[in-house]
Amino acid sequence: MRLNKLIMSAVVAASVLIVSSCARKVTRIDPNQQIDISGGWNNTDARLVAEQATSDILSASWLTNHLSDHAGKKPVVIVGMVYNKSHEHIEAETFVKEVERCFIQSEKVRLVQGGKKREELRAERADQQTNSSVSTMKKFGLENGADYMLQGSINSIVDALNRKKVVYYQVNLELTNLQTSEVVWIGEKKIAKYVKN
Amino acid sequence: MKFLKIMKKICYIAALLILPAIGYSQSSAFVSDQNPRYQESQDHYMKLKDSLVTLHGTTVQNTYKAYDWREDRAARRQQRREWRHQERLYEIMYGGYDYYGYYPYSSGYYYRPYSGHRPYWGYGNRWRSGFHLGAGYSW
Repeated sequence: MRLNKLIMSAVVAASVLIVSSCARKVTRIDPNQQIDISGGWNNTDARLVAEQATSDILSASWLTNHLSDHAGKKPVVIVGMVYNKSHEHIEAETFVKEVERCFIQSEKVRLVQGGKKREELRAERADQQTNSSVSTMKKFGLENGADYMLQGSINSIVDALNRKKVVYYQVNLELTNLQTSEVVWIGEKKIAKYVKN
Repeated sequence: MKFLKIMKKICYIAALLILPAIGYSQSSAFVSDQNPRYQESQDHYMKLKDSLVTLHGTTVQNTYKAYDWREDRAARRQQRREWRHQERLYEIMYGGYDYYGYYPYSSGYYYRPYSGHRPYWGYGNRWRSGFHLGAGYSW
């Protein structure tokens, strides 16, 4: 009788242990905390690139040169394409948005919308031509023309043998004068990882 | 009297000509610094606006499938189960032979009766066609 009770309690304890070990557990973490799991591109890498780019781009000489050449008029920047030539899926918007935010917060650089969002804005403006009151209707042909375009590229090199792997990422952001096609700033962030499985 | 009638006609024609011109000039009042070719852009977006404006307030789902080792393994297992299930179905339907006429789990010699029309001897398994020797007829 006592043995039966013992067996029963052992079975219950084992089943509870199995169920609890199989249950998914999710905890919120600090986005700045570094957690590397697979060795692939992750949020820490995106954050490092964003930090480097934002600290470089506003302290570089292109800004002071522009302000002195244009009588203190702030430069207008548009974000162009970022080419991902690496071996992984990397969403460049995660760090490019940080650069854009830095432009707006610093109030030293003006930003104009590009891509599909600009298409949507123009479509709304077109819609206003026939639906909005004349006093609130926005006109075509009065957008701010950009002075510079921000473009970028992501490259990677992978060296692997057996269970060891070295992954090298290089992220470059470039700012080019739209009038002269002169490259006025290049930002760079290199990240190397050693992965041992 | 005739003079008044002529004047009325002239006024009427003038009104017909001038009023639309005034209306047009008001609608297309040129603002200083406005791009002189703005009308081209406006015409272009007037055609596109309906398809773009309907997306306002919606979320465009431009997602991608992230690699997850556990999910990938589960998907592989699921696919294997489905393949085995299909093989079992073929076994039931074709009496132990798969869709292409090979016995699914045999790795040795087998005899394929083929509805009595084509006596067939051969060697092979589920992964390769192997060697076949046969004689008979078919329709």
